[in-house]
Amino acid sequence: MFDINVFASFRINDTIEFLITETTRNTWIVMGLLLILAIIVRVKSNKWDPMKKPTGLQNVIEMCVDAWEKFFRGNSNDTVLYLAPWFFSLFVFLIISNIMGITGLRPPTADWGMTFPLAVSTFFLIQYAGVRHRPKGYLKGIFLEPVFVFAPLNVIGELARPISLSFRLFGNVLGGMILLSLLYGIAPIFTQIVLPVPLHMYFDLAAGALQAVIFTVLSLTFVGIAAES
Amino acid sequence: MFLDMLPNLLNFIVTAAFLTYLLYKPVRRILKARADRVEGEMKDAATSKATAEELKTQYEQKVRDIEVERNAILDEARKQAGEKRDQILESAKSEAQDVKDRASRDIATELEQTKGAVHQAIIDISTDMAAKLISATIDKNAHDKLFSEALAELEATHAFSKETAAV
Repeated sequence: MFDINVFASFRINDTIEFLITETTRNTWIVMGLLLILAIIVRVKSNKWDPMKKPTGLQNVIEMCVDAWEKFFRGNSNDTVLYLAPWFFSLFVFLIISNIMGITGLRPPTADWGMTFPLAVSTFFLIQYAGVRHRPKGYLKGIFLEPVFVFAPLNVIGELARPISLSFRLFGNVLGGMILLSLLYGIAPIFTQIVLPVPLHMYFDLAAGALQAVIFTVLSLTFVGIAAES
Repeated sequence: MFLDMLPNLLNFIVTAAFLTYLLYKPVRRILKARADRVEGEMKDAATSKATAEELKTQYEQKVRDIEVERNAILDEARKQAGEKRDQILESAKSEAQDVKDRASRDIATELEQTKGAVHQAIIDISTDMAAKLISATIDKNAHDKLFSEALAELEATHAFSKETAAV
C-alpha cells in the first residue's frame, strides 16, 4: 500500500538504471500544472499594461509575487534577493505537491527521493551564498570558530541541514498519507463518507501548506544567515 | 540510490526555470515599471510642491510689499489732505475776515450817509418852518439876528455829528 509504484525503467548500464515511478509521474503532473500557469501568465503578460490598474489574473499574480518578495526580505536579506525566483518556485512546487494528496494521488513529497534533492539544492545554495558574499568569514565560521577543533562538528552541522530539512518534510507528508491510506484501506466503508474530509483538510491542506512554509522559511533563513556579513 | 534522485532534482530545476522566466520575471518587470512610474510621479509631485511653495513665498512677499506700499500711500495722502485742509481753513478765515471788514466799512458808510441825509432833512424842514414863522411875525433886524443864531447852532450840531460818526 505504501510502496512507490514503478511504471517503467531505463537501464543505462549494469550499475545505472533510471526509474519512472509514481513520484516521477506525479511530479510531472505538478510540473504540467505549473507550466500551464506560467505559459498563461507569460502570454497574458504581453497585454498587461503596468500603467493601468491590474484586474483578474494579473492582480492575483502580481499580489503573489509582491507578497513573496516581502516575505523573502522578511525571512532572508536583500543581498540574496536574486534567489527569490528559485525559492518562489520551490514554495509553489511544495505547496501543490503537498496538497496533491487531496486528489487521491500520492504527493511527490511523500518520497524522500524528492525531498532530499530539494534539501540538497538548498544546501548548495547556502554554501554558494556564504562563499560568494563573505568568502573569508563564512569559511572561517565553519572551520575556525569557535576554535579549529570544532571544525568537524561544524561540518556535520552543515551536512545535517539537508537531512533534517528533507526528513521533516518527507515524514510529515508521508505520515498524513499513511493515515489517510489506512482510513481508506482498513476502516469500514461507512467511515469513508464524511470522516476523511476533516482529515484531508488537516493532513493535506493545513499540514501540507505548513510544511511547505517551514521548508521554505528554513531554507531562506539558512541562506540569509550564510550571506549576512 | 542517489542517482535515482537525480531526475527528481532535474524535474524541479526545469520547473523552477519555467516559473522564473515565464511567470516570475515578467510579473516582476511589470511591478518594477509600475514602481518606477509611481516613484517618478512622486518626484514630480515633490518638485511641483517645492515650486508651488516657492511661488507662495514669493506671493506672500509681494503681498507684504504691497501692504507696506499701500500704508505709505495712505500716510502720504493723509498728510497731503491735512495740509490741504489747513490751507483751505486758512483761506476761508482770511476771506471771512475780508468780508467782515468790508461789511463793517459798508455799514459805517451807510450810517454816515443816513445821518447826513437826516441832518439835511431836519435842516430843510426847520428852515421851512422857521421861514414860515418868521415871515409871519418878524421884522428885518430880528430876522437877521435869528438867522445868524440858527446858523451857528447848525454848525455846532454838524460838528457833533462828525464826532459821533468818528466814534
